[in-house]
Amino acid sequence: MSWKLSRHAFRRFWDVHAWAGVITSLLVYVMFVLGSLVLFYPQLARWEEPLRQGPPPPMASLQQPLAVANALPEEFYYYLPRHDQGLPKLGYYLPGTTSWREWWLDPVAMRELPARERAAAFLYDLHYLWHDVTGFWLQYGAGVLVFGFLLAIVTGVLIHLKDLSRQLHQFRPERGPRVAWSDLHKVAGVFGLPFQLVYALTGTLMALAPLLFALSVAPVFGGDERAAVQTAGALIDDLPPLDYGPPAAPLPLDVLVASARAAEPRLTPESFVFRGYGRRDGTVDVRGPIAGHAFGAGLVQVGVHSARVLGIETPERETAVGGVARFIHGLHTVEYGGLTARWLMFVLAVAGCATILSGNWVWLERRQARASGFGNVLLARLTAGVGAGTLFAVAALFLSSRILPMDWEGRTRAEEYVLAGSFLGSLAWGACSSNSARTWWTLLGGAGLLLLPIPVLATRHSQLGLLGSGARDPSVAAVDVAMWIAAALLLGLAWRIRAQARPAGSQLSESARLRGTADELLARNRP
Amino acid sequence: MTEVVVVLWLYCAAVLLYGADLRSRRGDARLEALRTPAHRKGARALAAGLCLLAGWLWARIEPGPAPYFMVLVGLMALGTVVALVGSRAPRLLWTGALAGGALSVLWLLVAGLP
Repeated sequence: MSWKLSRHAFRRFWDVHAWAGVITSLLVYVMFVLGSLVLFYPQLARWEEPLRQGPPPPMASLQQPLAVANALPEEFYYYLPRHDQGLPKLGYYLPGTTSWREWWLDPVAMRELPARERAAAFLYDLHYLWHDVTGFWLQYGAGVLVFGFLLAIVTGVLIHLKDLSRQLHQFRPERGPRVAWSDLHKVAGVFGLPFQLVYALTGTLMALAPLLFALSVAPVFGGDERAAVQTAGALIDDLPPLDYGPPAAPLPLDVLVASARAAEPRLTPESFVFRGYGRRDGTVDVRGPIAGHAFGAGLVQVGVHSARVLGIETPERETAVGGVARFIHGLHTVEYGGLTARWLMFVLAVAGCATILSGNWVWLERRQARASGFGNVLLARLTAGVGAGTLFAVAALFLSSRILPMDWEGRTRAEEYVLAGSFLGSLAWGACSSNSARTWWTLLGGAGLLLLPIPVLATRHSQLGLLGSGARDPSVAAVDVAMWIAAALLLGLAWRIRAQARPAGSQLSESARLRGTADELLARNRP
Repeated sequence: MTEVVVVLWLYCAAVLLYGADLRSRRGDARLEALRTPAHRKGARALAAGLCLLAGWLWARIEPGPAPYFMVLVGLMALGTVVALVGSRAPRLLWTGALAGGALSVLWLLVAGLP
């Protein structure tokens, strides 16, 4: 059986693949870079915030830390210390807004501390383009854009199908940039195909889940929001406003958890989602892993006033939607394989970034042979600005998180401005630079230099890291080591790019190189 | 250490599949042991066996669908690395595979199965 497409089909799929890829490439690249870092969110979160580094405080009851909170809204999240570290945490949206607030609860000192360090959480949210300033519309836009990426993947497979096995291991960097980028694009793209497909699909569904849910209430459930919510289960976190009845005192959390565990003894409570707290019909979702099920977590919903079990979602009891949601979430957030799986996924994410960038470079190299206009010059400069600028901006964020005083109220916003400013500055640098190679090595080198002092500066906030005077915490020290390894790799890459860039005497402007006309070459090199 | 052994076995499998591919060569150099079709078939069979063993070993430390995912993810990631590194540093590739394979077997003999 021949996998070869007809000439017409090949040309059409090629055009769709090229245009879908170019249009979606840079934003999807940023999501892949941030996603690769977010694989290590627990380690980064522990490294950045000293309050997470100590052993958990002794708690007389699960309810005790909540008594420390100044005021509890009707809807809030309560997190117990995880992995034997840190303090309990309270989180909620400010009423009527998308602004998220978090508080550490210290039941020993009887104090409530506002969350002061959110660099890792900021990267996590930014990975799917969520911010409390922009709300959900940007997240939905990202979800739609990734459909374009999916289209690029599918058409890429179709046009490459006949050569799939023949060129699977073919990588020929000695044959020049056009062949090298094309081979890299195909090798990384084919080997990473299941990974990129799964992440594009699951990421899109997760980003669009709230919107899809809202759109389904009328046609599927006849406008019955409560029925829709009950069917959606854990798929939907942000529920529409429901009437939870008149005020009524909630039962202590320990009573509610006992009720949940009586219904599902395998559940280990890790977090709680209260809705309608202080109301007669308010509920609490008791969430945590189910013993014996390594993939996905469980949930028992209990009435806060009655302690009556209202619903259970475990792998064998869940609805079809719940099962799909569990797999989508579990696959996307790598709820299997421990750190080993995360490191392998990191390699695949980096390869995904290489697939995206090499696709743009193949596009540019192919058009270098023909006439090249403003669009290609712009794409070349944007690819360099975004490609290297993302890494530079992340390095600047981590450095600022160690420099800024931990007790300064404005530090989280300042960190966001540092990331945004660094990224936009890199974009501007790339747009103004006539030489993409120079953009790459200056920004990569800059990122490496920014990462170098971080383990030293980290000792200002914690003594449990690589260079601290206290007993080393493995996660904290590992992040310090990773910063130095990343710095060395970035500086090495910058040095190599600079060494391979054209000599200064015959350096041409990007537009002249892309136009590739003999006359211009002669004119620019005339002494 | 079980995780490391599994990763090493998947790496060896990826290297064997790379070596068995007719197009994975640097210039005209190819691993002598894999010149004949029979040897290449044997290499592919050995790679398949290593993947099955890796999945079986992982299943001893994590239940559910995790072993299948780990084998797939491992082959994807390590296959990418092998394909990109293989043409530039084939000796490093094969030395790593031999050393990794030997070390993993030694470890299991000393420490036993999980």
